[in-house]
Amino acid sequence: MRPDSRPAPGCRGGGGWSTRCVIAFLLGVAASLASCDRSTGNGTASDADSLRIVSFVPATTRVLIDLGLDDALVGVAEHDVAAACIGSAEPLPVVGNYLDIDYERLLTLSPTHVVFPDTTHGVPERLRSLEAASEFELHVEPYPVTLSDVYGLVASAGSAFDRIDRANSLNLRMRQVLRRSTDQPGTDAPRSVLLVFAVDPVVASGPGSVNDELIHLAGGRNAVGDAAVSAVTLDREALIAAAPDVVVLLLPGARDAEAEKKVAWFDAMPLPAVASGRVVAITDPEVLLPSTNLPGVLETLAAVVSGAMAKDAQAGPVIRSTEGFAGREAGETLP
Amino acid sequence: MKARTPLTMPLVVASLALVGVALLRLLVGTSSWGWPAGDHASSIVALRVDRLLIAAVAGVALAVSGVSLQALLRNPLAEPYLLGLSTGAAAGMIVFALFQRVAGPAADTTGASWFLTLGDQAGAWIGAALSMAVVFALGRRRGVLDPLGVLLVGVIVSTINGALVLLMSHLAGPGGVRDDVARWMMGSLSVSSGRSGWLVVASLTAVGWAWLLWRGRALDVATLTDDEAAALGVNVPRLRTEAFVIAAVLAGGAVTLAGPVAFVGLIAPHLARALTGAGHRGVLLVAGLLGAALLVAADVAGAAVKLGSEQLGHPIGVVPVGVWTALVGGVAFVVLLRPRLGRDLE
Repeated sequence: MRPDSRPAPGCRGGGGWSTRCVIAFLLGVAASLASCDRSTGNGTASDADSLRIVSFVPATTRVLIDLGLDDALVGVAEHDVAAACIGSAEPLPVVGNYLDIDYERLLTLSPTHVVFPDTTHGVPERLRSLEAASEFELHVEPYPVTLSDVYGLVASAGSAFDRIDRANSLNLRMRQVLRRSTDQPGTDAPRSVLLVFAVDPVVASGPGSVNDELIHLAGGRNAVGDAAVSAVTLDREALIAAAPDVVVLLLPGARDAEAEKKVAWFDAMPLPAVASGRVVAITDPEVLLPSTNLPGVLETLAAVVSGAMAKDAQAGPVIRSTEGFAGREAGETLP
Repeated sequence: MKARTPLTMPLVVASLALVGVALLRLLVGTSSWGWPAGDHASSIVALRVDRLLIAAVAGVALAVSGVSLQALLRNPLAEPYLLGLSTGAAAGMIVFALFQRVAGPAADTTGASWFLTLGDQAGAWIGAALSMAVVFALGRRRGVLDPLGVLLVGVIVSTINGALVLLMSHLAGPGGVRDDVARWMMGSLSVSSGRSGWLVVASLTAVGWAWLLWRGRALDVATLTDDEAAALGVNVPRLRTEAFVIAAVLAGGAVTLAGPVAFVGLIAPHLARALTGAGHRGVLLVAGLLGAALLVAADVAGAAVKLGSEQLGHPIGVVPVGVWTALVGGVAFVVLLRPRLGRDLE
């Protein structure tokens, strides 16, 4: 069990970079340590004394933290943005990733539970055999693709780790926030929204993705329409034809200068979003994590779509945190 | 090239290098320095031995494949990566993975779901074999394998394979298969197809290595012109076919074990020649040992950096072996090649 539950010193609290984050960035792991405003789940050590969980699924890591199981986490996958800033004096050991498992490190952590993603690769045979030999329980979780999946992930984690009440409460709060966002007064017609992962060429979120759901819940419609794929590549001509009213770049962990440069790329494009100043970037490290952080992302997105939050001279085009989900505000414990 | 030198000392040096890095690999893990202790000690020793064996076999296969290709093409730059075998394996893997995804539902209903149980390594084998067949077929002139033609066709096939990988990655979109391929292209000892896969590759490597050692004298003669070699009783076209097939099989095996690892097939033969001179039997023996040592050393580096990063408070994953071989191998190759380039220019 980790001895300390203080927030990680590498995490910033809304302001500048700490030395540790800079060093971590130079080592190439800044994306996972860069900007963490989130509070932890405030779990008590006594709750999780008997649990030692290794998570290969960042989305589940986020859920476990929100269920108050952050003290039970003993190992995580590479680039786990959720684990980067939980309340520990030391970063959690890294056990590789689902394609390249560091079995040796995994074994020495003596986990009681291992959370593994359900991918097309299936569960490696060696992990199965270690499960039998090492007496840890293997929880294979489908990677969440829709909001419904996220609710399912929370319920599943609550059930697996005896946090059913907390899981129900967390799901209820998520639903409340989602409803609150959708209940906000909208414009006459839904604005067309482009959620962008990359520029030049633009790669945007298409139908069938959790981001597509968020666009609709935020009161918009997806500017790429009924594209056949969940990630759509648009050249400049296609981008102009899509004519989005709002462009939101999702750039997890990006530095301000980098994000501003990518926002500025759109300035030369004759788009309604550019004319109305609705091209913004969200650089929250967890912005692409399909987990319990989504209500915060949705609230931010809804504010951008409705015009309550737009590019202006004072605020600039970069939104560094999507924190806003009441259940995760600092110091507040879940019921 | 150096004149032929006694083999004893080079063999001792190469063997000591291999034994040394093998011992290091057993003592440097991703969880602790030194011999494992505690509850899981025996399991951890088994894990380290597994990786050691995978790295050693892949290293031998790449090195022997490199010697073979360089001999038959009379080109010191020839290696499996350059001839499109590695990129063919990568293209095969991604095509196979996408096909599995698309054909999955149909296979379930038609009773062909056994096809889906084949791992991605099957795609890699098929891709490498197809690339070899294309290079082999197009690199012939009037039924004879042409060294320059093979090299050119290899580069073209490699480029086409690369384009195929890019196209499939583009179609697959972010995440999923694209991420798998990106990671796999770095070269990783964790892509191994298990002990049965290792056993197959190890057996093929042993057979191929032994065959080439047996044909070592003929490979020496093949460095002369075809006419001169024929005058000395060596059927060069047949020898080229043998060597090319063996090189392709070994390279394909290495790719299924460790992904497309670059430079081992290039560096190990050159290091071996520096120690032994030009005789192919000596080069084959020493290059195999050095190839194994190089790849094991790369794995030691990956484990040590991973462990060190954890102790420094900035944990990262194990850096793939392919990254180390490309970094160190590239520099070493420039150092090895520079004097020769100078001579050629003069």
